[in-house]
Amino acid sequence: MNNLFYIILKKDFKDNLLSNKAWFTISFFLLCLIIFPLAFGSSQYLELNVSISAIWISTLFANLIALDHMYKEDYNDGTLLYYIVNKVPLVIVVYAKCLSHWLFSGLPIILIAPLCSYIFSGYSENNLNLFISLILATPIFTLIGSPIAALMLGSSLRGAALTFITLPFYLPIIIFGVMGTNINNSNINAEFYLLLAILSIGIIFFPMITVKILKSIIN
Amino acid sequence: MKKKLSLTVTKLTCKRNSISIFNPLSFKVSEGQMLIIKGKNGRGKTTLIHCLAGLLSYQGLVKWKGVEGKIGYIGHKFGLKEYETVYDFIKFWKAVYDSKVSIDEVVEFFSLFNVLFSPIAFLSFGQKKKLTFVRLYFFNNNVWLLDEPFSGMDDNNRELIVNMIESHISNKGMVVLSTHEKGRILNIKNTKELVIE
Repeated sequence: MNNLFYIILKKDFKDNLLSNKAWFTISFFLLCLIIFPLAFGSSQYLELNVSISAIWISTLFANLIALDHMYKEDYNDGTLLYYIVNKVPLVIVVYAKCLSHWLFSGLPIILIAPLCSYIFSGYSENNLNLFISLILATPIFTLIGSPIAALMLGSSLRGAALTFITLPFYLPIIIFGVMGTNINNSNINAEFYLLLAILSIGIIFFPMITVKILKSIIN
Repeated sequence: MKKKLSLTVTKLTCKRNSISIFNPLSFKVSEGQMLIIKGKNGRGKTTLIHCLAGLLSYQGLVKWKGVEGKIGYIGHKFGLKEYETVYDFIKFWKAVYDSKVSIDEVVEFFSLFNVLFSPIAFLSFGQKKKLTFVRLYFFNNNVWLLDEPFSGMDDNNRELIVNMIESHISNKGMVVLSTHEKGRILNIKNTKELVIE
């Protein structure tokens, strides 16, 4: 079981590296961030200290963009079909896909975001909070997106529908994430606990739902 | 005791968008036998094979007995990534099936020396089709469902596949294959034909 997980993860990681689509996510994130200060005008930007919001918005949209091709290629070229007919456990496939999606659309953002926040706003007090809340929130983005990406596989207007369906589910996460980042009193971290709760429930439930959906989508 | 391999189908129909694709079918295939599904385009050959593989929901009874492990399946979709090399493809599926067959053996059997390290996008249609048969070679299953295995293949590859099927049948396997070609394709005595009207 473990072995299969590593094999599929490795393959998926390689696919992401080679197909160039995953790189689009992180470059989109950076581009989005660069546009924000330009659009505000630099002095006002510093005053408003919107860099945190800018980072969260960019993270959200970068995740949404990457979501589209989570299962699409495997569905289109029939690899999913072969997995199902040959009884390769789909749970393992889904977990591997989620992890590789997070490695390309979550992890780089987590690492870059505190640096970006410092460069854009000049403040560094919030950086640890930003780092922690991004660590908790980006896996939730991936997990929530996974069943919806699976659901949209057969649809012809997948791009627009995927965005509109996923966005409402992302809103609580982004609300708690931003609140968690802006905590001044570091003793009370209720938002982090809440995000952690959502993550620990989601890490079991969303892949299970995804497996069910993938099986019915193939029919 | 090992159960004897058999497939019994009674009154199988498949409905999609509340239109039944084919009239109720009943047939029986047993060990060491081959079923050739014939019919014109759009008569439901692929649908029937998908029903047998358990991919589609159906009405009626499909009863498998004595199936060991996985069902081998070749479909219209190849399951190949364009940017992957042939070697990576073989290595990946060998690992997924946890197969004991060595890569060298596969390369020799399918004569893939020339293309082993080139991306799959560079291969022709027939070569890609041949690659999908690598999956069948890897694991020791006794049921094969082949959907149009000969389309787009040249004579050499066709002979290779025919040999594979013949040796599979003689090892007490079962093959269900669909084709729209007329005339006899294989020299297997124990053959049943099913024509979908």
